[in-house]
Amino acid sequence: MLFFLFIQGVEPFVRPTSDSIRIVVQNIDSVTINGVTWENQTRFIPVYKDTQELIISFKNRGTDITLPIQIVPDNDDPEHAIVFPTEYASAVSYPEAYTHTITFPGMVTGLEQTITILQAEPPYPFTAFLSGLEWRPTHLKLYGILTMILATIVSTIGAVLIGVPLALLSAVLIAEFLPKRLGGIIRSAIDLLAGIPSVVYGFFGLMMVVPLVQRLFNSASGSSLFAAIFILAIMVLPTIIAITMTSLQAVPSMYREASLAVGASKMQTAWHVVFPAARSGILAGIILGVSRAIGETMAVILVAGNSPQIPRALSDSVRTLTATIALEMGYAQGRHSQILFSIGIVLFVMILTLNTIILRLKKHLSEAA
Amino acid sequence: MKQKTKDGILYGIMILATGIILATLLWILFYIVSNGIGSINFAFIFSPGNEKGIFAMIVTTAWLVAVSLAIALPVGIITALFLNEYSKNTRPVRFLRLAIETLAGIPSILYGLFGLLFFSRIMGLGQSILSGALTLSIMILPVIIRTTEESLKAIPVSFREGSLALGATKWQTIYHVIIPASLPGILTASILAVGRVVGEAAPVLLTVGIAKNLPSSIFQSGRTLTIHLYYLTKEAIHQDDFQIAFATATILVIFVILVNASTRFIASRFTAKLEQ
Repeated sequence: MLFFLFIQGVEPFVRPTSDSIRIVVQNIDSVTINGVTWENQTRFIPVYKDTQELIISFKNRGTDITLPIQIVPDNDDPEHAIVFPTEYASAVSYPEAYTHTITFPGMVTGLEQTITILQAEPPYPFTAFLSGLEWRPTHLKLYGILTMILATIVSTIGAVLIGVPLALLSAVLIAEFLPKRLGGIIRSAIDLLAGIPSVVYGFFGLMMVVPLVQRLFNSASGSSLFAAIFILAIMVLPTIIAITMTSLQAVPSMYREASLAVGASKMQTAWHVVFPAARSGILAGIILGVSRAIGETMAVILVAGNSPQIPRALSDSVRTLTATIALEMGYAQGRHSQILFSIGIVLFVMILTLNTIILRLKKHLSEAA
Repeated sequence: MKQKTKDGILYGIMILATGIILATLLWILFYIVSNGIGSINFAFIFSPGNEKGIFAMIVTTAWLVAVSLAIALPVGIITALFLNEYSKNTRPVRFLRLAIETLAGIPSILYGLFGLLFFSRIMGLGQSILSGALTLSIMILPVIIRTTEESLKAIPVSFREGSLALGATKWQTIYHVIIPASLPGILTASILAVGRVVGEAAPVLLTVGIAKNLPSSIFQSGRTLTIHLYYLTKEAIHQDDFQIAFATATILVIFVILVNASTRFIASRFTAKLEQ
């Protein structure tokens, strides 16, 4: 599984998008490029790797047109790497990075003839990927994901700050104080919280939390970092509570008995004896909650607003790593699609790191016992 | 006395925290169900011709559940049997356990990426129910293995010893004693897996797609209930859309409640039976 993700995700950083320049023509039946004629070609027309001059000729409204185009190799600025004849300068546009389009009027409007020259994009620098602030995948071909990494981290931290105290307090109450029957009922209610689909959380967030934020922060849309934190905080609760309860229950009862025997109150016993004894397990539960918050996708998409910008305020619209994958996979092509896989790898590395910490804690736990 | 007040305050805070959590749960459930229940009727759920109905989404979801369980259940149960009945604590077995645990912690969107790449693109299944089911079957494997293994562990050793003492072979013991005794556990595992498949959205979006029509085979794209809710929520303009969204969310919530109740019921019956 990892292997396949890696094949896709690493490619943008090690290989250019193609070996050479590629050409696409539209509404041109027959085009001759450097002596080779292509009839009704709708796909990419490849060009030899080290070609320095392109002679393109075709018929436009009955007249023959010949375009001599210079290719300036090793130019750092892709916009000036391709030089068109000066008399056609007004027909040339640069709609996307690495893409030149030259347009000629057709017989009727809508049937304009276009020749698009696509340059090969060089391997994308990995540091620019991780530390770039601009995410403009289609037009500028800029793939910086720092804003999303920050959004993921900040929303996760927020969710943990709200969720963990709530979860720990109630887990200790249920495990140490409540009668078994009542505790069981509350526990099953919390399990229900774990079973609710994330889309339903997102829907609830959009209908309830987002308008609340709108009023609270007086912001335009309400889809915000705060809404994401709010929903994530609810979503991490069941995980943390379940694991905390299990590790509290695993603490041998002689700990409690010894503590009570020396005169400590039940409350002191719970927080000063049982809780510390279970801390490795509790920490593991919190980390598991963190990975749930990092990996959550659909609920966050619906409430966070999804603008790739640095989160500066709670009312800012933010976009997480997972949201980017789910939102753009539907239409992403070429390198853009591969970069989404790279984002997947970044996520994977984050989760794997957390898993390793959990494993260490478990080892520590079994050694202590 | 001072300690008692301190304890009392802390106790109050703990009750408050638990109260907040329970209130949030009730708030969510009540808000969704009270707004959605009114729009649910027979035609909404079952009529294929109903423009606003969700029949096609229910069929897609059902297909997805059936196919992914058909793949994951046998594999999961056999793995659990192997881990619990045959394996010793050797290096490859430890690695297998580590792999299962890691698999359980991976965010679902990554399963989606993998499924899209491997099943949809490399295997050429495209965006289809089959591709989604294959993806989800990997995702639910850890749940099935873990739950089945737990129920296997709960079977007393005396069952195995009794069977072996009567001259049954190991395989006969597994087939005639262990599997019947662990059936409730396997059932619980399947129900949990169903709940997970029905509730999952991100990998489904990537591998099954969003086609709204009634799928005629598992090689076609389709739209599950969760994806339907996602799109309705994202693109709702009319009041009607919100009504459908509420109704769909209500159906999902009711389903989750049913799943939880049935696993609890089976679990309590199971423990009662073993204690006898």
